[in-house]
Amino acid sequence: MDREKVIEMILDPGRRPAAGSAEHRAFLAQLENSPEYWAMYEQQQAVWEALALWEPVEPSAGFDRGLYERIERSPARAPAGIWSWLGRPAEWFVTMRPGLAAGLAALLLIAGAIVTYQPRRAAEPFTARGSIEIGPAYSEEIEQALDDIEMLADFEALVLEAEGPGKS
Amino acid sequence: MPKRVQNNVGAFAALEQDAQLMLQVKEGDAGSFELLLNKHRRPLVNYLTRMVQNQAVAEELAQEAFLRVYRARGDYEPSAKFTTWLFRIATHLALNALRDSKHQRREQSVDGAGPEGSPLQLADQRANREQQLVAESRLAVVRDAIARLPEKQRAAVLLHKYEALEYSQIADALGCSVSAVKSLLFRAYESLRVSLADLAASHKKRPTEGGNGS
Repeated sequence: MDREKVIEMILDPGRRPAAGSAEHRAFLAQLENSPEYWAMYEQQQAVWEALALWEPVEPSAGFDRGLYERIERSPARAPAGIWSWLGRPAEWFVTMRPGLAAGLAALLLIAGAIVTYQPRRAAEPFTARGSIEIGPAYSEEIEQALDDIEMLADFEALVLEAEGPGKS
Repeated sequence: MPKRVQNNVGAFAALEQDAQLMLQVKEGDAGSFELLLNKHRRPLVNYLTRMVQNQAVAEELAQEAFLRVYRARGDYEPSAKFTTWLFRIATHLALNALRDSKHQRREQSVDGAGPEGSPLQLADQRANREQQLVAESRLAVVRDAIARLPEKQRAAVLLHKYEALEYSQIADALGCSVSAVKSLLFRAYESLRVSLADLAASHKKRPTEGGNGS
């Protein structure tokens, strides 16, 4: 008979085998031969006796009346909708494992905060919007464009002169 | 037939009867609810009284447990034992009440409203009177030893010792595994053997071949 089984039988008289059976004799032999088991058995018997001192109480006379009043006061249950049906597992989870549910909720909040968190960028050095730095290649392009516009204007004037004043 | 086996046979019959009654409650039969109430009122009130050590609070919690059973009648399916279901609800309510009383105790301590350094006494006037009348110092030692157990160990011991629930039923009521229940009980009884050692002096009876020594 292993240790766990002996201890279980010491702690729980209901788990002891029927008196006179081979297993019961083996249990008694374990108690006789082991001072540790014997001491534990004696102390546990004392615990049973001590716990038996706490006798049951009778519920008060108004118990049922109070209960039925509470039943009458309690609102009639609304018909279960799809959301309440879907929420039942969560309700069970929160009821039976409040610590775990709170832990998971906290974990979700932290994860959400990490995902949505965007660190503030360092302020960029201030540059006046009115002044634009123009490189040499860019300034050449502008100059070319202005020349083209001027040339087109001159060309248009020549065309107008050639057509004569009556046409203008 | 060993006692536990007899209990199991009785429990099976009870399961059938309780489940049947609850199904009738589901159909709107108020009389069946009354039968369930008559059967389970006393054990439930006693379990809760030993848990919170205050009969008035225990009766409120027991009423709340029965109220929840009544309100849930429409969804009842006889998948779990009725007793286990009822004690699961009651245990949940008791653990919450104990946590709330601890919370109140902390607040009183912070506010300075409560007596400094002394724990909030859960035992009510009636229990105190009972102790005085009976002059039972041994009972006070037992109550104190139970009260000092951590809440889950306390619930496990009370369901095991006084309600004679199986390990699997206790596991279901506490929302943990059977091995966790064994561990809870082992630690709880270990603590009780120490705290109740003074009451052990009178007990020196050896187990015999003719009985299981219980």
